[in-house]
Amino acid sequence: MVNNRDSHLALEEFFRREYRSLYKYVYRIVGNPEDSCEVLQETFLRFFKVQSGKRTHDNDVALLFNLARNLAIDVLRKSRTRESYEKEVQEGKVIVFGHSPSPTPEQVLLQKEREGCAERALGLLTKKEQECLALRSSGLSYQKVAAALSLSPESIGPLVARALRRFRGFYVEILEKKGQPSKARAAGRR
Amino acid sequence: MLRFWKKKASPVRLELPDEGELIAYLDGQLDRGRHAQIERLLEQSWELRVRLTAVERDVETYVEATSYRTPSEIPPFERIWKGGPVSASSPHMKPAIKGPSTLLAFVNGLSARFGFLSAKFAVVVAASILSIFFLVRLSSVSPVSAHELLLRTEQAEAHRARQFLQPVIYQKLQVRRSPSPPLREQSVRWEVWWDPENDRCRQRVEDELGHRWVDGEAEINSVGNPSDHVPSLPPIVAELKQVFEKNRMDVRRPLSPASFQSWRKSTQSKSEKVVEAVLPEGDLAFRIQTEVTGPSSLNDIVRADFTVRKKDWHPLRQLCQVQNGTESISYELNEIAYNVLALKTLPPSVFPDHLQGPLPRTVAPHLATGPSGPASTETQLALTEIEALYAVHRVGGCLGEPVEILKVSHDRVEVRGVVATTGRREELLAALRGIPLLTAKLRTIQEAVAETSSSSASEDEDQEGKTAAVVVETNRLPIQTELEQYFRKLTGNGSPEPRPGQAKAVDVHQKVAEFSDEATSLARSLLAEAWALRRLAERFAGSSAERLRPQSLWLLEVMLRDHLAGFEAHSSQVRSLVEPVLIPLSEHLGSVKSQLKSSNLGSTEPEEHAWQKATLEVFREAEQVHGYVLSLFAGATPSSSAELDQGSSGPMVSELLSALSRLEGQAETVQARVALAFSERSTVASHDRAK
Repeated sequence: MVNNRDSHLALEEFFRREYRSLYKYVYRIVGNPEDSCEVLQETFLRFFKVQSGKRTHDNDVALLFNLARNLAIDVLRKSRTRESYEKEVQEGKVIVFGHSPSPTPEQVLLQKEREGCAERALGLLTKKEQECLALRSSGLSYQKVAAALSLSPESIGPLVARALRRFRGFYVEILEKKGQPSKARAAGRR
Repeated sequence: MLRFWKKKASPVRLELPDEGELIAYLDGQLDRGRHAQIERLLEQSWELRVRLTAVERDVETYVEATSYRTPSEIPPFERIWKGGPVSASSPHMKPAIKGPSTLLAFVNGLSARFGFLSAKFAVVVAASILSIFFLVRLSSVSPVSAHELLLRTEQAEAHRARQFLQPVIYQKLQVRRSPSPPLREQSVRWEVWWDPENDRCRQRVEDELGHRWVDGEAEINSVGNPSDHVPSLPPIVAELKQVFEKNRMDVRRPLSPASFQSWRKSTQSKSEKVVEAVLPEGDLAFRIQTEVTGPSSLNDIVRADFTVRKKDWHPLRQLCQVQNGTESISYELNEIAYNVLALKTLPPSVFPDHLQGPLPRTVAPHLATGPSGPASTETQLALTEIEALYAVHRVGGCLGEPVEILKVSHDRVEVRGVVATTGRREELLAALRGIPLLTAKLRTIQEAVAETSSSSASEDEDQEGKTAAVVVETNRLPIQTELEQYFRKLTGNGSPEPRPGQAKAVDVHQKVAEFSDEATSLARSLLAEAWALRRLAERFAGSSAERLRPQSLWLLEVMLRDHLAGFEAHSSQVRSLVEPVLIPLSEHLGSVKSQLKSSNLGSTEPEEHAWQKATLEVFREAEQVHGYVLSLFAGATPSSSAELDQGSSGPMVSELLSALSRLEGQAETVQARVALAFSERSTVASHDRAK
């Protein structure tokens, strides 16, 4: 058993270390800075209650990220029901993410469509693939991604590669169906 | 037994990585040994490099497509933590309640107190209050606060950077120091490449002593240490660096909102205002004028002025007035150029290690800093030339555009040419930006015409007369009848005579015209690729390719491979377009087939400079194909002896068909020789490095 002050400091250090990755990860789910901050505060608080008085361990990363994911999904549910949200995204009625300084209406429309396409392509991936890409994009090492997903570290590389390839395939296909020029396909030569 | 022997025979064989390992390699997740192994394999295997490029493309697509899910900035940890989780749970830690919620609470309160009718009234009152508030706010003098202005500028910068997977922000600044007499005013040009992903920068300065690299943090930090190698920082930049350090500004990003904000926050007492201004080019801008009101010491900034262009929230100018004893010195930073580039599109000389990771550098990082001998200048010049070639290649400037790259003196390479539009010129200049020892002289067609017309107005009159004398002949194509017959058959109208409605006849004419257009356009593209290959073969003829550094060799190989791929694609397109039409017309089909058989047997024995020779042969063949296509499908006057056989178009058709089939074999030969030449060299290069 460690004393309270040491535990407090160790947890602060742990949170500080994981903070950037966790913020990016939560932002990918909730899509705006205010909710991301709120989710992070709540995550730290709950984690603190669970872990207070114990030593931090590498496996705690998995707990922290799972906690954050569940809270982020709760926040998303509160703001709107998941079903209507997905429907709106599919129909291209909403953009929930992205801040541009002063885009033209055409740019907004194009961006909106592209974001809808990306959401749909992401939706076609398996849950594990989605999770894996989100965790990787948050800057976590493969060790930590593996811990968060309860997989072996060796399986992360192939999983990421397959998810990226499948995402690209779906994304290009959806863009082409919508009649949008696909840079991803055109990027063949130079 | 055999399996066992195989295992014993090749104990050090390197296993090729799969996609999973390649992505782990890109993400830096492999152990050092395996990472180094894959790097070696990448140097040796073209196939692996192609696979790596495919994986990179997948990553790029994902990052770009989901960039909207990446936060533009991450708030500081303290904003979330604020002293600990206990205080985090307190209500004041929640984000501030937003405007609409406050209004709603107000309306609800009134509604609860005075009933439903009063609630309606409350809505009206609240709406009026809001309108008045907005009107007052709009008519206020200060359109935006300094904090908001800097925040927006930072967001806009992050937005621009997000367009790239690994962005590098390039800035070129003019730095001016204007002290009071007797010191004279000084100015210097300062270029900065900032790589936010890897948290590194590269800087270069230009003053009366010429261009020189300031090697990132290492050299910047060595200023003032006379024991170190000769400091390459000009005095004005060295002074500025000290000022920046003293005032908590970022010397790696001299003109940036983050750096200015950092100083602003560090000052305790200050007066500040934001004013609107008009830039010389007519754009609106905001200026943050900050004056420190408290006491100041040596090198403290006492007054600063930060200008941001309104239309894209881009910082353009920063003026710092610095305390220097009893008087003050002004440092002015003006932006001359700005660009956001992808890391991998940068010339290798900027971040010499970004292509090869932790391997030893193939380019000396201090090429221009110390006293450089003729050999190093020559090496640098060769690298400059190939980087320029590659930059032009990347934007497609090597495919028929009149742009040439020349060594104009012992220490300078020049890119000259005429381009169609100013937009195209900007594109080329952006691609060439940052390459050392390079000057670009690119003119638009309009500018070139204006120059020539002003210098030779009288000649124009003569020329006009000559131009008027040109008669455009509307000859039928040599195989017009055959083509018409072919398309009639194809559309199901076998009759040679047009039918009463004439519609089908018009349709057939149109089809012939479209077919001819497509054939000539494809042949032009084919010839453009062949010219590009020829130029590379001639430029690196003899032993000049052997003297290239591995990095330059890599670039040369990429260019050759690109052109060969393009060449093969166009050649097969021409072939699949014209063969179905021409084979039935050819009277000498048998001879074509026999030629085809004999021509495919390209020499496979390795010769000295074999790829250059094979490339020139391919060029000659492509030129012939182009000539035949123009003669047959555009009615151009034949030039070669074979084409001059005026009796019938039959021989020309046969020649075209056989030339097309020869092309395929020859392109394969070039490809094989390029593979042989470059794999040998990369092996040699890696051996050299290993030693």
